[in-house]
Amino acid sequence: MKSERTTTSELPALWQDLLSAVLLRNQAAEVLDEAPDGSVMLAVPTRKPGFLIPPFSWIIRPPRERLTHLDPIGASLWRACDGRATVESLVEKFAIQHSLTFHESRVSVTSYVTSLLRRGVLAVAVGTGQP
Amino acid sequence: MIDWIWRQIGVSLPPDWEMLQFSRESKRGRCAFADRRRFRFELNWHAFAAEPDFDRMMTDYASTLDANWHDIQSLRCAGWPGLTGRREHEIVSRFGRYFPLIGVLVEAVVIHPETRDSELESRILGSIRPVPVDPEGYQRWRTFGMDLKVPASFSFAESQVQPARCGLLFQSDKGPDRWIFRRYGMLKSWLKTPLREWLESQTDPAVRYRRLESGLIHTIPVERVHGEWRPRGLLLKKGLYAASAWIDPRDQRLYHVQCITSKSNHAFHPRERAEKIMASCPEFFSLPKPSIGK
Repeated sequence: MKSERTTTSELPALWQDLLSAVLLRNQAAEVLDEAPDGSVMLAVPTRKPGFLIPPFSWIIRPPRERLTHLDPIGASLWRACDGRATVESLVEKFAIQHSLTFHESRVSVTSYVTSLLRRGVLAVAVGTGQP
Repeated sequence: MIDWIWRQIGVSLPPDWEMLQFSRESKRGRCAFADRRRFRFELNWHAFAAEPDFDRMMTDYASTLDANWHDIQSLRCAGWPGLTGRREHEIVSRFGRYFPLIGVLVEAVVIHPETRDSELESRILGSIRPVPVDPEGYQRWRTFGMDLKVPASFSFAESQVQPARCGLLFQSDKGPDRWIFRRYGMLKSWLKTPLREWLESQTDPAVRYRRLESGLIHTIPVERVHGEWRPRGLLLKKGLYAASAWIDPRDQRLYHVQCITSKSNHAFHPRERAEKIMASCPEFFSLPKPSIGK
C-alpha cells in the first residue's frame, strides 16, 4: 500500500480548464464552398512573416490565405462554435449526436478543436464560460 | 453501478465513471477512473505470494502522507482498513486489502470533490472482489463495454483505446494463439458496407477453408467466419480460426471477436461461434447528462 510515486489521483484533471473555455470562429475566415453533404472549405488569411522585407518579399510571395477543408462532422462542430457555447456543451452535444460517452466525445472534440486552433480557424477564450 | 473486471479484480462503479488510464501489467499496475471533471477512483494492485504486514505498511504510509495531507484519520470501511485526509480541495481515502485467492494486494483510492461520501465509498469497497479463473480455465475481463472470457494462460498483450474504437489482444507465450476483441462506435460515419462484407474484409488471407454463416445472438443478427489458420511459411504454426461480428442495437456499437487458437489450446477454441467468448455490455454506454453548474 505504500506509494511514494505520484499517483493518478494526485494529478489534477488536465481537461477541466478546457471544458469551461468558449470557442469563437475566426471572423476573418471566409467560407469558400459548402457542399451538400455538409463539408466546408474555409480560407483563413495568413500573416506575412516578419523577415519578408524588400527585396526578399519581391521574390518570395507567401500565400495570402490558408485553405482548410472540414468534413461534415468537423463542419457541424465548427458551426456550433458560436462564441457562447462552452467546450463542455459542445462535448455533450457531440456525444448525443454520435452516441458516445462523455470522455469519448471530449477526446474527439478537443483533439479536433486543437487542430482547428492550430490552423487559425478557431480562437479560444479560457475562463469565460457560463457558470 | 457498472461492474468492471480487470486483472481478476472486480469492482462496481457509478455509470458515468470512465476508465481513463490503465495498465496491462499483471504483477503491478493501476487503473484510474474519472467522472466528467476529475479522477474519482484508482485501483492499484501488486502481486504478492503472502499477505504483507498491514499494520506496518499503514504506519509507514501515513508518515509519507504527512507533508501533503491534513486531518489524516485511520478508518475501516466495508472491512477495508485505510486512511482518509484532506488534500487541497478534496478528500482522499485510501484503503488496502490482500486477496489470497488471487495473490494480490489491492489498494483502492476514492477521491471526493468536497466532502467525504462514506456511503458511496462503502458501496465501492464492498463491491471489490477477486474474480479467479473459472473451473473451465477461463479468466474473465469486463471492460470498455465488453465481457470477455480468455484462457487463463493467455496474457494481455496489446490494447488500443480511442474514442469509439477499442481493441484488446490476448495471446499465449508460444504458438499462434491470438484472441482479439474489438468494439467500434460512430458506425454511420464509416460503416458503408453490409456487416458480412465488412467481416470478410477483416479476415486475414491466412484463414483457409473459410466458411461464412449468419446467425442470431438472442434477437441480434450475427455474422460468423470460421476456418483454419494456415500462414504461408514452413515454420509458422497452424491453428483454428473463428470470428464473429454483430451490431448491438442497444448501444449502436459494432462488436468483433477473432480467435486464432493453436492445437495445444483446442479445448478453449469457440469453434464456429466466436461470440461465446465475448458479450456486449450496453450498460457501459451512458449519454452524458446536461451539465448543471460546476
